[in-house]
Amino acid sequence: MKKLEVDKILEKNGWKKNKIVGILQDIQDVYYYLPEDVLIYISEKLNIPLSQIYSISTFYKAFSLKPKGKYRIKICLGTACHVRGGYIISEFLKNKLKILPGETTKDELFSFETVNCLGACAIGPIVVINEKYYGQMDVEKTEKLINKLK
Amino acid sequence: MENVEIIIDGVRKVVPKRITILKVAQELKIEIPTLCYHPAIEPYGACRLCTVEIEKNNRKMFVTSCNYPIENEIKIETNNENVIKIRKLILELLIAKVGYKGKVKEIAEKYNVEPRFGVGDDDCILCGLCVNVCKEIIGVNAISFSSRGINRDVSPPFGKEAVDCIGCGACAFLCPIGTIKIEDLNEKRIITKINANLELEKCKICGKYFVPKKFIEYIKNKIGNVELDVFLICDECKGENYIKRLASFSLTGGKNE
Repeated sequence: MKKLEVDKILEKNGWKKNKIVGILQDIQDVYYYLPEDVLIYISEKLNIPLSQIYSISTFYKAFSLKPKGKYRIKICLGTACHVRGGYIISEFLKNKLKILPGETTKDELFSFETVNCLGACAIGPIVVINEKYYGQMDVEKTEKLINKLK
Repeated sequence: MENVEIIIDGVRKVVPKRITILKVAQELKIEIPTLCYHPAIEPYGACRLCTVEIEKNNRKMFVTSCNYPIENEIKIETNNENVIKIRKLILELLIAKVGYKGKVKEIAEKYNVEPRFGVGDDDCILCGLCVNVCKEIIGVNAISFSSRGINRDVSPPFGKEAVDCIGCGACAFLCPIGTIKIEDLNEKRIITKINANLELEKCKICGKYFVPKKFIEYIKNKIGNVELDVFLICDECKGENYIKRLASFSLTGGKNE
């Protein structure tokens, strides 16, 4: 944990208890997940019980307590993407990477999760890898993409 | 204080404004079942068992009596057919989750519930008593709710050992289905469910291990420089010795001597 980095985030949020969700989002932007030692540090610095921070971190689906891979894949399973085959891509990835949604591969290269709508239904099914959007995806295109990244 | 007139189960009654329906009912010895309510803790309204029917501005609705403050003239039915039907359904759902345990069993038997949704074996009804007593009364916040939806549970941070727990046992005392249990084994206290593991201190008189060290430390920090010997006598050794011991502290500052 880099204390300076965390302190910067706390500073940006005015060291305020009521900004905790924003703080956790900023932490996740840096580490892609919420590291335990960082949460303990925040709990001490802002005087918020660790149990409450843990409660918030597990309540929102956007937060993860597990480390993410180098490539973070999101598959949209919103209605539009789902009917256009998003589900098939997600099943394919489960088999290809041998992990379930929310998990990370052993080599820490890939993690993938399913999301419920990315607001770009017109180009569905959508696969997002590290904030980059790939539209009109199918299993073949996804496989190529993954193989290129490996 | 302002008063309001209400009709509760057909009886006219003047009550102070903002008092909860449950408190009025308890004063009138009207029985309303509760699972997540405790008079010392802020009403939480999680179990919904204390549901009653009220009539306000000619409209009927169901509310949880534990956290419904009476604001204006209302008519309350605490035990009519509709209310009983709702309570039975809630009990059926509770049984589907945890089965016949503790207070759930007790109340379900009183209401002659025949469960349609099966008998479950979870260990928690998520009433929140343990979490809230730890937060509001003890001020330790050792445990909290985690996750949500069907995964919601009571757990220490990161599901590991409850490091902040002082072992006071308030959660175990309040758990309505007996999931949280205190197990003392020589110098160790284990609290199940919340995963606490504490070192115990000996009784100053008989030498039996009986109180967690962290609990004594906590009390010391909270109330300042008090001679802690007084807390270090186990229940069995209290009595004559205990009073003598207490007397030696002259707690009244000598005024009554």
